[in-house]
Amino acid sequence: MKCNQIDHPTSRREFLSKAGAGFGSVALSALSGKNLLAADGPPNPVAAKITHQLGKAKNVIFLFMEGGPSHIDLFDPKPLLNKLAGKPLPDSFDRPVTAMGEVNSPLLECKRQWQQHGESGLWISDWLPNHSKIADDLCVIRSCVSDGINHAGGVCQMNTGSIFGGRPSLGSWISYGLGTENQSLPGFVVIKDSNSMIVNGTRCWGSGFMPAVHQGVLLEGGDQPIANLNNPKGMTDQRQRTKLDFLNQLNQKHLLGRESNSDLDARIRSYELAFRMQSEAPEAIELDSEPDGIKSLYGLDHNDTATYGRQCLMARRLVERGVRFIQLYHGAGSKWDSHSKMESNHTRLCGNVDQPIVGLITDLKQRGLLDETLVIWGGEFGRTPMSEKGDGRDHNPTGFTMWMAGGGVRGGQTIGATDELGLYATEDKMHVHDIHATTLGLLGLDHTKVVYMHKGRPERVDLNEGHVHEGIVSGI
Amino acid sequence: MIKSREHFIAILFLTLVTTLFQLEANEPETRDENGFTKSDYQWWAVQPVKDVTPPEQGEGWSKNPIDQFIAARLSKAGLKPAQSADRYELVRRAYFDLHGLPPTPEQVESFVTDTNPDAFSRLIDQLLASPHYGERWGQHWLDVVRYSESDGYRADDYRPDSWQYRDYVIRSFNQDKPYDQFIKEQLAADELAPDDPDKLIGTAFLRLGIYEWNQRNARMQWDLIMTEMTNATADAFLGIGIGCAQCHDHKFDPIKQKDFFALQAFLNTTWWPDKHPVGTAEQKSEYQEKYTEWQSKTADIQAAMEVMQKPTLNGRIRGIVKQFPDDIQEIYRKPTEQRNAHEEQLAQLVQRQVDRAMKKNNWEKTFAKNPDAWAKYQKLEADLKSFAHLKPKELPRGFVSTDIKPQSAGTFMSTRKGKELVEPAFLSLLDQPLPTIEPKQTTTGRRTALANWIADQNNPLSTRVITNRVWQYHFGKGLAPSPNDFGKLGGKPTHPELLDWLTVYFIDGGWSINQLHKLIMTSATYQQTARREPGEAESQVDPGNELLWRFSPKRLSAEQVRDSMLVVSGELDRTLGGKAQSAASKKRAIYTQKKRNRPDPLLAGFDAPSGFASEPDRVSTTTPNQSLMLVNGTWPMDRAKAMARHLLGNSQAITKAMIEKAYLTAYGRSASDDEIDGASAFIEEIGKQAVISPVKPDAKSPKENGLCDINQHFSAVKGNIGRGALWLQPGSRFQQLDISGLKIPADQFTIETVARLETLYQDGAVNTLVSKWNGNSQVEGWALGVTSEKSRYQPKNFIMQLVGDNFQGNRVYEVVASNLRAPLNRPVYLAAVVSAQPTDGDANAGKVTFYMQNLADPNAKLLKADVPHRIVGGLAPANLKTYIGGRNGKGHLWDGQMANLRISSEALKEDQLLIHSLSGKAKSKVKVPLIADWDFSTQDGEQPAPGTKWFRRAESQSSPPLLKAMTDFCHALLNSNEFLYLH
Repeated sequence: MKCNQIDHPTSRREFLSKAGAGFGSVALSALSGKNLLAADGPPNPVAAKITHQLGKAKNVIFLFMEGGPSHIDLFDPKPLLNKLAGKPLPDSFDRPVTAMGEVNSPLLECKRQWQQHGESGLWISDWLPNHSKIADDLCVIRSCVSDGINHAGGVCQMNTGSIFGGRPSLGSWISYGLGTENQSLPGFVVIKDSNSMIVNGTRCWGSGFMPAVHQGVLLEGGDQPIANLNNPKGMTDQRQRTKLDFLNQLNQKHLLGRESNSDLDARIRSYELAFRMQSEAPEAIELDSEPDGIKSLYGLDHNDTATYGRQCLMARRLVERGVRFIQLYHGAGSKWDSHSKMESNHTRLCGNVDQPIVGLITDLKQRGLLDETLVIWGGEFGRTPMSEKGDGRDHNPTGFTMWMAGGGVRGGQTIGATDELGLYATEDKMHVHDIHATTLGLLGLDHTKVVYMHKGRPERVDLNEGHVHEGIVSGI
Repeated sequence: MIKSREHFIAILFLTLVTTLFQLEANEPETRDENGFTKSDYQWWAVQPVKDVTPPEQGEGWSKNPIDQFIAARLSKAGLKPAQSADRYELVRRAYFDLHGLPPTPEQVESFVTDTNPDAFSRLIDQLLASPHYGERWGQHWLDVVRYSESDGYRADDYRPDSWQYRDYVIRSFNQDKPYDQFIKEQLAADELAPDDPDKLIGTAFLRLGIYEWNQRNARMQWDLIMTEMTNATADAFLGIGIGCAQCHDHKFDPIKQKDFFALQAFLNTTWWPDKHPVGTAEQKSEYQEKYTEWQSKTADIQAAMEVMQKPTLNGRIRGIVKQFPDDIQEIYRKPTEQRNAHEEQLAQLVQRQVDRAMKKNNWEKTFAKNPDAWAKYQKLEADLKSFAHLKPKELPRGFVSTDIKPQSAGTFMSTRKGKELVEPAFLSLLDQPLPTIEPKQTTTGRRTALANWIADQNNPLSTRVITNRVWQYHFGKGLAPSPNDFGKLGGKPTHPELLDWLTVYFIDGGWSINQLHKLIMTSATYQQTARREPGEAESQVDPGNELLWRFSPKRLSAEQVRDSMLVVSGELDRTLGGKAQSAASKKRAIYTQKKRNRPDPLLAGFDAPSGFASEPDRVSTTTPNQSLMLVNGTWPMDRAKAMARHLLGNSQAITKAMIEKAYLTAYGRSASDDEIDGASAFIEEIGKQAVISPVKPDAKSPKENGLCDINQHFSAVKGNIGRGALWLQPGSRFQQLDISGLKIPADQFTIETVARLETLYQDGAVNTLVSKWNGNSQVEGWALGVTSEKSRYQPKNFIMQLVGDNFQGNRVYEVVASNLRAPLNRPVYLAAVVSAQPTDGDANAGKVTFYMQNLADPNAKLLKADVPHRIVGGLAPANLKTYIGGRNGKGHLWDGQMANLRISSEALKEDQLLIHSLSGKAKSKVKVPLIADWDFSTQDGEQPAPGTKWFRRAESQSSPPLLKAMTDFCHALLNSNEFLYLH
């Protein structure tokens, strides 16, 4: 008995009988929406579905600062740090295991100017000066916790819940739980800021043990934004169309007398979908048509902000077209990883993202899209109060900051706290599992019910350990 | 965390399980002293396998007892079996099932015309006797044991020796190795057959899990490794979800938390040795003898060298060790005899990182400020070298596992009461006596005890699990629906009696998997047609075909898709075994490299598993990405082109016979007249379109000449570089120049050029300047070039690609990167001094010294990079050509010009370089052993230097529109459902 929604039933009746009796049936019975059970065809596994409860968010944009930005220099001020700078970690603190063994190195002062912003008085450092404009939209979570002390484990867990590869990424769970609204674009899209690869490679957006239909699709620059999107070299559109028509002819003939095999029809349709994608995908990320004011809002008119600005603007266009989950990597290849010379590293990287992120939030808001778009910011971990190599900081997964905005999140608030040096989360700990559970919650999905059966076992996004943090949601 | 998990499970249990499994009203069942209820003991999977008598059913249809069981269920449900498949369907099914390859037209013909009643039975024998059988069924097992060839974390280091295990698995299937023996070898060959390399490699099973090379939290890493090993063992051999019991008692199945740790306790002393010599007892003792002799004669020299190395090495060791937590450092500092087995495991995790850091030695640099010491060190090295003839060649390193000490590492379970030592034991539900464990000389004997239990014919789990797997791979679905989980959530078997009967048959047949194949495939059940549409009854009663009223249709697996394309294009390289190949190889998919972080897009796209955990079955997805890959991707297109060329031969027209042949090859059946007409019409239409839109003239080679005037691109260069330059124009007739007339030595040479590069590739291709290589990482050769936009080494990196032998004589591929960035559109001096011999100071490393100078910038300095590499011999490729501007094979071309080329037969010293004579500083003072010294000052573009000729790809005999039309036709066949599905 396979009960995941992807298991194409051979008839409508079978589908309904499975829906009523299978594990994961809670997800199944909630299925509905266009094309799912169209009378003339088999169900499309990612057709949009009704959610478990009314959640505000429909889409997610995850701004991933890869390498680990320093929370104690951006969103979590620690006056004690500067008082103790140069001294070792006081004995009253538990000794963490750190990646580079910097547990006994002297504490490194924070050189930032701190100010409270917005009506809410949110603390943001001068590394992100423009963020003051969106302070009241941000819900800053200062008590994030992860298990990965290295980039591989950290990035893997932030994406999949496990420091160990092989599980579906968050975007895959959301694609599985919600389906996609746009049949001509992938439901889960990833954009990087350079040619460098993300730690762990393409499996960051892989679907793990779930069907490949839920995996993320990497959008790249250049004239072929999606792998294999363009006709083969030297192939005219007319010839391609003629070939696809002939292929369709072969397949229709083969289908005769085999109609019960819905896979055959699904493959016939997948060629049509691929053909549509060829025209729609390039249009979706084409930015020339955007007015100059919008371009400069995202920082496209400055060299240092243009790259991430383009990513953010593409994300807005993709949200408008119904793409569910968009992940925008900044610093691909662990560029935020500042074991030394953090001052110059973070000055530059913060400068890259400050205006584009503010532009994104502002633009989503003015278009009325912010309420239904959850924006998440963060890296795989934060950084230690202890110094490394004199002017850098080591990895800190035991307490770090992320923020959420839009999608029903109550802005202008701070959740949780770290200790006086920012080393350990102390109040309202939000483990990565809780972040994932809460993300699903904000999308109206009950993370305990989005269950995928694998190897005969029920699997969840949060490895059965997450909780929704209700304080993040407005009005609760 | 435990609390929250329990909370979830409890809710899930109440809300779902009660409804789903329709348990009777939840009256609390009483539990015995072991904590089990009556119904726990009734779990079907732990009941002894029953010797069932097949029901008297299926008369007139049944061919063997399997059919009687199937017929009984069908008839009870009011259903009837399908007609038997015709010969074409059957032969195709059998080839795909046992070989994973489509039958050739000749193979189809030979079977369908064989009227003998035992034709199919003989076909099965013949297929099982072929080595392709192991390649197909070995892949099933590799899925189950989470086989991959890389570490799986950030660096995802490749494991170059893991293929030995892959070949072992293939070999085991081809030998029809009794399954009980197969179990024992994988779990404990180091204890049972330590001197038999063919068996010992089975223990690689224990080390296929992931590993992070720079993890400083050694305890956590080891815990993860142990957990992974325990789960993989339970998944693969026992079919129980014991991983669920790691943190608490299993909530659905009668498995205790203690059972998880009791299983782990069998495995807990395992270690992954890095340099485990593999050989027979004689080979090992012979090696040891010779090594001892070498060691004793060189002891003084080595000791003297060590004294000199020590300060540097110790500093480096300290640097690594101090990054670990204090307690781990303390363990590491203890002498090994004072460490217990678990401490030894932790210390060895540190040692692996230390060893890795020890590999980067540059003693010349170390002693740079002390010439006396350097001279002394060099003298010692030379002395040591003089004994090299006495040093025995190292035995091959085995990718194997063994215990780290003969004493157990101890397994502890954390409970609310604290830590509890757990001893090896079997599932407590089975209530079996504790295992007898006999420690061996170097190992604990624990894994042998485990292997004996799993391979016991009375083990109800392992025996059913393998029988069920074999059934599942034949039919697409197991008799028990979750092959890795026989627990409650896995679902009950559809035909429990048949499963038991087959299991008994299997054990009685000496655990022979081949006998099981034979019985299953000769059954009427297996030979039913897949071409039966469900009627009202089937749709109502059994829409999922669990009762087998027809043979279930299947999509080809990832490997089958890839391999089939190679078969029908006539390109499949059927060579067996050996080191893994790149994805571009024409060998079968099972022989291509499996990297966890960089899977081959074609295989991953068609649902090949990622190798992180045991996968009992494949999902079969349909995605637009697959369609894009098939219809636009290069790989399928190249196969179509090869198939078209094959079909066309030298013909000037497309004939009906060719279309028929194409159908036979791709679909294993003849084409109908309608189909031939349809194909002809399509081919004609494409032919017309291809003529109407001819290929655009190549704008890059307007003058149709392989030379250009020196002033066109090199006017900025000061000094005498001649009057002309070679003009390398990709895609034109002047794409790459064959200079194979030159005899370049294999181990040391110098190449110097003045050149200019105009464009980079958008992907990771290399702009190749000079090469003697075909791009295959298994074939010896070298290539000098500059990297492109998506290179892993960053763009514009001046690099050398080398394939040769390392110090152990293993063939390795290495990219030697200078990290010097070659500017685009600038004349630049590029030189590589290549040494593929042991370098002074390091017997294990060769060296390339790169030089680069931007000749357009008067202030630019000569940049230098010394880069060691692992290749110390065997660079000489026998049958390959030497090219300027490209390599043997397609792509990787240099788009630009070359004004000078100088090749010398030695590794030149810096003062011998061409750059100095260009600027006139050292002109003609130094003697250089030249092989070539060209400045392309001739007028003859067809032969720009003596003895050279432009490489021209032989034009296809068929006219291009004809080839295009045929290619499109073949491409459509390869994209079609009839090709991709067995239905």
